[in-house]
Amino acid sequence: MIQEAAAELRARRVSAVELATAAIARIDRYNQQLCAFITVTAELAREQARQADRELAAGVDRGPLHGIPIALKDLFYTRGVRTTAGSRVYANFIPEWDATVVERLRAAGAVMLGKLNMHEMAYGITSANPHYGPVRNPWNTECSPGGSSGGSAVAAATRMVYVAMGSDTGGSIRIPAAFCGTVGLKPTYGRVSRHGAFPLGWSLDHMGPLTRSVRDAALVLNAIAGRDAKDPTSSRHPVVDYVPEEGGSIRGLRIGFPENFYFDRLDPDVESAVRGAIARAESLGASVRPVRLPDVAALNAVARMVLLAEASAVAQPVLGQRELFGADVLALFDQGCLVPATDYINAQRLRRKMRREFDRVWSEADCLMMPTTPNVAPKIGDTTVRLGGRDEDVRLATTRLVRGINALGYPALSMPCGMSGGGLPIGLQIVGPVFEEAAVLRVGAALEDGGVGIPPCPMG
Amino acid sequence: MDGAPGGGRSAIVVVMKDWKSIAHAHGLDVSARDLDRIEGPLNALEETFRPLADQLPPDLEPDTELRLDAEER
Repeated sequence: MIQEAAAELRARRVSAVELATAAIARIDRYNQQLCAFITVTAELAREQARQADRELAAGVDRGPLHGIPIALKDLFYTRGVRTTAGSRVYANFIPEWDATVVERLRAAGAVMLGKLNMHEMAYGITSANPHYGPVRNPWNTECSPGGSSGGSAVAAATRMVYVAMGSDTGGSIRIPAAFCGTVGLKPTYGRVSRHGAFPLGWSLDHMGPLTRSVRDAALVLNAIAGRDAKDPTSSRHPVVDYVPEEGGSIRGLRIGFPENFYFDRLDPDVESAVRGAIARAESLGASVRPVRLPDVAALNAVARMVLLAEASAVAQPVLGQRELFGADVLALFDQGCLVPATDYINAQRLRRKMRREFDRVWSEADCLMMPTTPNVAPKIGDTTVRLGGRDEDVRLATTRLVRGINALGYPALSMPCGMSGGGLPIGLQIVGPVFEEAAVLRVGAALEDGGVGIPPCPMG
Repeated sequence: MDGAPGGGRSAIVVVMKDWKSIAHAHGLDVSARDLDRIEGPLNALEETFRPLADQLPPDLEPDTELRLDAEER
């Protein structure tokens, strides 16, 4: 974990160069099989690590991420380093500047190991990238890692890096986190700058970390949160210290579990693990209660309408090059081109109405707990999944418990809470009111401290 | 669809659009095969979305730029 590595660095028991070298060795060992990285920046990492060591030796301490190996989903602009967005269209795009998130991580002393594979254009949940190879799940390489931040989840799960940055427009951090057994944090909309991240849907895109512990995610949020004048939707809401205190209590905290929608048609292993985590929260002193939420299926439809229109608007200048796109992504872009402006506007009106309705739940609960996905990782290539005796489209099933949260902008954490009978991780989702990341992370850390989690990844 | 929407709207009949004609009218250069692939998902979304949109009151304004800062809400 980051805090242990940071302590080792400061005690001179390990150097940043040694951490980077170990990370490169792990990438060399696993990447050919797992396809997590599109670009490995080994030389740049060694150079940044040497600088981190020099600074620490000179008494310059940039904080807990100083000298820590990280990697970035390949949609974050990186000055002088190819940034493809997982697309052939941008196969040779080399930005001249860094995304704000990248600037902040560099200012915090993090060492960048490279750019991570992803679903093409971040528009999908499989990360079976037709141009840079399919990312594979390290728990079972025949299975999908989820997406779109699939490479990020794999890099974190297999300890290639301590932190892998991702983005989440309809579950793209939380889904791969759940499928690969990592922590994934989608902060409140506006909490982390989107500037310099290839957009998918401007009003739905969120940037956040995938890590191996809740506290690691909190440490990253400390480094990247805050107002950025370059992002017009960046918030001025005060930033706090997001790292939960050791042994922090959740006694008396009101934790709601939805009695509608979120526990419908689940894989039985998922239901059992998530209910077990909720019971653990109660045994730790939380006040656990059922809550009733407004129409989540309707919210999901609104989120999909917004995304279809925004994504096609983003991509319109390059959509003429149809031969450069994978079939699944092209089909989504085509759908978006047929959404009339009136439907997009009405979706945004519905979104406002629904946010008011959903906000009422916070008078009954301080946070919500539910599964991240109804299913565990499907096999690569599966197009349907059987849940509750019904075959569902795998994309719609996998996104149905996460997509709506993007339209509401709430912070949401996915953390591992158990394993399926088939040996695949299961994700617990913790959702809070806007700008209450600290509370969400506190609950996650208390559960982690209380034994909720999974064994290390076999490739980890 | 992401799941069955709330019960009260099931009686509303949604007239499905002719997506192929709409695509042609937009000048969208899409093959018949590609159009076949997108018709189903669009119809499913339409079925959920249309009744919601039809219930909107005129005074409800769109959220074209999401601002969640407490001081701005």
